[in-house]
Parts: sequence; structure tokens; C-alpha cells
Amino acid sequence: MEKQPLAQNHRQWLLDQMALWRRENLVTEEQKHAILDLYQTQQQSAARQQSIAIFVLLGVAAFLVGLAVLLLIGYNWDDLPAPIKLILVVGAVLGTYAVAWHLRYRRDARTASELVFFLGAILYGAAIWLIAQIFHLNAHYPDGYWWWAVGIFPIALCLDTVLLHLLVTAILAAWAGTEILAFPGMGLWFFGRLEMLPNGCYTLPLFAFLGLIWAYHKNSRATVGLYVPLIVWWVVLQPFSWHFRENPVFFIGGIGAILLILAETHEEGSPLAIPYRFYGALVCMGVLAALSFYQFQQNAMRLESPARFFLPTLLVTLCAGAAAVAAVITQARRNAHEDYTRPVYAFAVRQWLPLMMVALMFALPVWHLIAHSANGNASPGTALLPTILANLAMLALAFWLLQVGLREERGFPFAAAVLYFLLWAVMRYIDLFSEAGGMLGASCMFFVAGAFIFGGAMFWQRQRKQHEGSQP
Amino acid sequence: MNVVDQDPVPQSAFGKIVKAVTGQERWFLAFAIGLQLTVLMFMTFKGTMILVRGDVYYVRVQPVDPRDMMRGDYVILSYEFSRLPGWLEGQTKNEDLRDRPIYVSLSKELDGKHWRAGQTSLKKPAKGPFLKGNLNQRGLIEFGIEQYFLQEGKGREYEEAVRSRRLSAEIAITPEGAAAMRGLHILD
Repeated sequence: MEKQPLAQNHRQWLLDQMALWRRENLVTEEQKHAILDLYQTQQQSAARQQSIAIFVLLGVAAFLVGLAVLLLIGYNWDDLPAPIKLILVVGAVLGTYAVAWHLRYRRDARTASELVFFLGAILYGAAIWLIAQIFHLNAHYPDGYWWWAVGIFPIALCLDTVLLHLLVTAILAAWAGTEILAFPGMGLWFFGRLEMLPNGCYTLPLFAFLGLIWAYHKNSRATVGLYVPLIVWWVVLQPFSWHFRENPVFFIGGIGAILLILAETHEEGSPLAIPYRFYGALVCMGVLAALSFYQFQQNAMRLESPARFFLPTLLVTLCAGAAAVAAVITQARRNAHEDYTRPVYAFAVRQWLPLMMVALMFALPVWHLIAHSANGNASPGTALLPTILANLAMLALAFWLLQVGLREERGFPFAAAVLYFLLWAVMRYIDLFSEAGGMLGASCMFFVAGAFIFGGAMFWQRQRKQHEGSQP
Repeated sequence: MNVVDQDPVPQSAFGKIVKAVTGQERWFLAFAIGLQLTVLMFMTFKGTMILVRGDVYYVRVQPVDPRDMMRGDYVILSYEFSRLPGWLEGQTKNEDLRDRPIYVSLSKELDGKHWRAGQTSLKKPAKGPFLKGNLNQRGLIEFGIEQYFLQEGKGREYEEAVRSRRLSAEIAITPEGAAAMRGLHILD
């Protein structure tokens, strides 16, 4: 069996514990060695770390070499006739793949072959652009990205390397971005342009979901962490594609909430939940930070078309509702053998913030719509309640992240919670100091902030005591 | 560097697909490389087909010179026949021209070398030469001959040439009206 990697601090902890267990005669010397033998030695771990670093460096080098070749041929030497340029371009692609093939199947140098395959994938993309250059093809240029992704996607699945998945997702993201943002007036492409449907890059989810399912099957957190933001990017672009540009902030906030629901639908402590939580928290943090400004809320109320403003919100809320139902079913199945109170409690502890976020991202646009229909345009006081709610939601998000950090005993969510809370404090300091409240207002706010952090520390201490008390 | 965190146990239908792909790695990689080669060959075929089949014509051009991050200097070319004639422009309100091909007949200039726009129509002319184009988003007719890539640093030369109306495009046109760039010439 392949030895498991083990971080140096974990190894040291295990060695200390082993010494204790030996003294207590809980394990024999043979058992101790058998357990330690399951994991990589210190030297092996160090070598593994080094090879990851070297792999990253070589990946960057391969990327730069690919760019160099692209620019070298892209210089478009007048002295080189088109057939020679063509032979050089296609020859570079085929030659690179031949080397990769040789390394993989003749030399058994798998890591080196993966790097050379990566270089080949970049050169293939370069070849698409350079052939268009050689023949002065006046094509719709985002198509080049699409054909690039189509060509390298099977290799990414087959070799399953982070570098190739990264390249595929970056290309697809560039494709969706250029296609939707640079050509908003074009219709859907399906062997010709169909004007009745907007140009929404509908093949992207096929790639992304296949890649995501693949990543789940391989239990690869890194690959999940690449395809999740790709899907999010595509969804965020959809209102632009469908010309619903009124104010996409509530729609984007709703997507953040869905990501958080999906994160908390995973098994407690699952590493595959982390990418959803990371991107979901990031999106929610950004949206709430924007909404926490009174001025921003006032701008949100200047609506051109209420229907176009509300429809994306309604859609994202329905999707969030479906995700919440899926989360309930999953939780119920997971705890099928237990009393109903436990799954309900577990669901509430994990999902209260995501569901609150969904409710907020629905309620705020509704509030703006009601205010708009009642007053025509914004009256100064109407933006106050949404601003207060957004600020409370920022604090709630910080508290929820704190809970996640404590629950899973991970420092990253905990640090994110503290930093986000500090960001909130700084933002409100600027607000209160410059706009209203003056120094007394700012002082009051810092009292509240201090009390919140004090409360967080007390909460953590109580949790820790409860945890220690429950240990046998 | 493999990203697999632990060995999976394929059981589902998808698991069987994953197993089939990773089990037949060589064939799958060969398929992917073949697919890439097909894309490149198709582009090459598309680029050369018109050049091989088409006859050569010279038309006068009006360039601007942008720069492409990936491909260096190039000129965007515009022609007198890129603009929709007035009578057709009126039709855009009633009829969507974007889905329909637009034909421009060419007639010889007095110098005996260059060709200029004759009649523009939505019906294919009975006899050539003519160009077949489509309306773009900016309301101009595109024929596939609107870009020309240059060696880096040559853009200015062409810019100066067009100001003195000494720039001429050498294009190949097939009997069906498809066009491709062959060259861009600065006239003496």
C-alpha cells in the first residue's frame, strides 16, 4: 500500500503520543512500527514537498516556454513562407506530444511527461491562433478558446493533473467572459447564429459538470476548487447574457448563498466542502460589504425596469430553495437511524447563515421594489433598513465563520472571520467618522466591536470546556 | 503530479467510465491528440481552400492598425463595399439581414488592375465575380477579408501607404463568392 503523506507537526504529535502509549503498554513496539510504517518518513515527506515545489516551478517554466514559442512564431516573419510557418506550428505541437508520449511510456517518467503534455496543450492553443494568423482568418475569436478547451479537455481528464485542469478552466472562463461580455448582441451559436436565444455559452456547464463529477470521483479537492469557480463565473455572466443588467448584486449574493448551502450539504469536515465554502464566503463577503454602504443601497433603488431587476433574484431564490431541500434530504438520510431532533439540530447549526443569506438576498430587492413602486424613486430614508440589515448580516457571517472554524478545528475560517469583522469595523469607522455620528459614533462602534470579539472569545472558551468535558 | 488524494473504488456507471478512460490511457490520449490535429487541419483546410480554388482580384482598402497581444501587428481592413447601400439599410428595420447572405458584384476599375463594388443584392448574381458577406454587429458587411497580419513593426508603413491611397489587397474569390486574403501590397 502506498504510504500516506504526513505533515511534520502531525508526525511529531504522533511520535509523542506513541512514546506515551508505549510507556502505558497500550501498543507493542511492533505495533508502533507498523502504525508509523503507514506514513511517509520525514525524509520522504520533505522530498514530496520539494517535488511539489519543483513541479510548480517546472509548470510555470513550461507555460513561459509555450508563450515564448507563441510570440516567436507570432512575430510573423516576412521571410518565412506560409507553408513553413504551418509546418513549424503543427510540428511544435506534434513534437511536444511525441516527447511526452516517449517520457510516459518508454521512460516511465510520469511527472516529466505530465509537464510536457501541459506544454503541448499550450502549444496547441498557440497553434489555433497562429494558423488563423497565417491565413488571415477573420473569425469570431472566442471560438478559438472553445476549440482550445475541446482539444485539451480529454487530456486533462485522462492525466488528471491540476495544471491541465487549471488550463482548461482558465480557457473556458476566458471564453465565457469574452463571448458574453464582448459580444452581448449575438445569438446562440448552433451551426449558425440563432438570434432567439442569447449567446450564453451553454456548452460550458457540460465541461464544468463533467470535470466536477470527475473530481468527486477522484476525491480531489484541488480539482473541485477549479471547477466550482468556473461554474460560478458562468452563472454570474448569465444576467449579462440575457440582458438583465439592472443590478446583479443581489443575484450574485444569492449565488454565494447557494454555494454555502452546498458546502454545508457535504458531510461534516469533508475536504470537498471547502472550495464551496471558500468561494461562497468570498462572494457573500464582497456582496455584503458593498450593500453595507448607505450610498450603494440608494443607487440600488434607481431602477429602470422592476421586472428585469427582480426576475434574476426570483430565479436564484428558487435555485437556493431547491438546494436547501436537497440539503434537508441529505441530512435526513445521513442521520436516518437517529431521532429526528439531531438531524434538525445539525441542519440548523450548519445552514442558518446560508438560509439567512438567501432570505436577505430575496428580501432586499423586494423592499427596493416596494419602495420604488410607492415613491417612484428612492426617498432618503428607505435605504436605511436594508443598510442596517446588510451590516447585521456581515456580523452574522463573521460569527458563522467563527463557528465553522471551531466546529472543524480549522484556523482558516477562524482567521477569515476575525479579518472580516475587522474590515467591517474599519468600513463603519470611515462611514461614521466622515458622514454621521462623528467621533462619538465611531467610539460607540468600536465598543460594540470590542464586545463582539470578547463575546466570541468567551463563546470559544465555553465550547472548548464543553468539548473537554465530553471527553471520556 | 497526480491530484488523486486517495484511490477511488469505482462502482457507479460513471465510475466504470472513469475506469475505462484511465484503463485505456494510451488510446484516450491518442484520441485527444488526434482531435487537436483535426482541428488544426480543418483550420488549415479552411484557410487554403479558397486560396487554391479562387481567382485573384485587387481591391483598394482603408486600414487602421491595432495590435493583438497574441499575434502581434495586424491591420483591420475596410472596403468601400463594406458599407450597406442606402436602399438595403432601410430594410434592416423590416427584415433581419443578419441571417441572410449579402452579395456584392465587382466591376473593373479604369486602371485595369483593381476592382470596385458594383451592385449589392440579397440574391446571388448570375455571373461573377462577386463577394458573399454577412452583416456584422456594427452594421458593416463582412467578407472574411477584414484582417491582415504583419511582421511586428510594419504597421506604420502600411498606415502611411493608405493615407496616400497606395494600399491594395490581393484577394482570392471562389465562384461561390467566398473570399480570402492573399496579400497586402503597397503600390509604387
